[in-house]
Parts: sequence; structure tokens; C-alpha cells
Amino acid sequence: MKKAGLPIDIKQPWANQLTVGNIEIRVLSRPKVDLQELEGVLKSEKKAVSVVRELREGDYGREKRRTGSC
Amino acid sequence: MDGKSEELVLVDTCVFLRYFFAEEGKDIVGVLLGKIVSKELKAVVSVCTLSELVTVCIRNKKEDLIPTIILFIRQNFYVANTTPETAILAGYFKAQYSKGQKTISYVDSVILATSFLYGSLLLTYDSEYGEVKEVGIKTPYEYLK
Repeated sequence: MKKAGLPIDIKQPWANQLTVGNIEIRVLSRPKVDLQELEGVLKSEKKAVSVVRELREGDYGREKRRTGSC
Repeated sequence: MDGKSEELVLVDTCVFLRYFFAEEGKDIVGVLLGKIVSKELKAVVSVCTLSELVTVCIRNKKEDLIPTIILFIRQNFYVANTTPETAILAGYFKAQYSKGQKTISYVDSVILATSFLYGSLLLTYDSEYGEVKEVGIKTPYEYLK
């Protein structure tokens, strides 16, 4: 595949492999993340719902300044 | 087949955080995520959830966890982009459910719109979605019981 207007020759010999000029890019599959290893990885004094509420409500002030209303 | 197998669920950010914080109720979330990992259940997340999880990791000074969490999600969930259709529908939800003192954020609206467009059930612990009628909403416990 020749990219129109660009001196780059892109070849896609395989679905997970791309060659741009002399550079070969291969996608390697990574091992599956174990669900159990993610349990309790973060610490918070606040509940999950409160953390998310605070993140989202933090945007209200900016919205109000920008649009005049929420 | 229990009838839920073909159902699509959209998992809200607070559900992941309950498991990552190991809060009370984490076991139910563990069961839910286990069903998703084993492909027993098809699940979607909004790109907004990726942003929020990255923010929470950084505020927790756990930046090193970001690649693992993102990889976990990409390996097991369909990550739904915010397309123009999603954004337009989110605008309707925002207007409809933000009246007077009551308001929902743009992220809430985008998550609702994503869930609506995918025809999925929204799994969340957030009661802010309480008045929404267009999207089915349950907690993981209500869904699994």
C-alpha cells in the first residue's frame, strides 16, 4: 500500500504486522490480567460511589461558568 | 442457558472501584467480573470510565497500575467510544434529567447514552440515575440475584 502523497511504503503482510519503510511493527499478545490480582489494589477513605460522584460533580462548576447553567 | 447469557451490560466506574478498593460488596463485583472474564456475560465500558480510572489511580499515587487496569478492561470488555451519535443523545439526557436543583453530569449523560445505544443494562451503584426511564439500571447484586 502506497500512501498517497507521502514517500512511505506501508505493507501489511499479516493482520498483526505492519511494515513502514524499513521498520517492522508486530503486535504481540500480552498475558491475560488475572482478576484476583486487581482486588484491593487501590486505597480510599471514601466509598467508590462518592469518589465517582466527586469526579463528576467537579465538572458542574466549570459547566456553569461556561454555559451559564448545568 | 439462564436467559441472561445474551444480555449485554454496561459496567459503570463505581462498580470497578468497589472491587479495586476492596469495599463491602466486592465479592458480588468479583462474581460479576468473573462472568465477564469467562465470557459468560458480554460487557461494555464507556471510554469515560477509562478516564476516571486513570484519574483515581493517579490520585492514589498508583500510576504503575494504570497499564494493568487498562489492559484488563481491553482484554475483557468492549470499550465504547463517544461518537457524535452518543454525544447528541447525551445532550438530550443531560437536558431531560437536569432540571431545577437536580442535575446529572456530562459523564453520567454519556454513560446513559452509550448504554441506550448498545441496548445494554447499566450496572451501577450510583443512585443519581434514579429517575432515568430509557435505560434499564440495576446494581450488580440486583442483576446477579
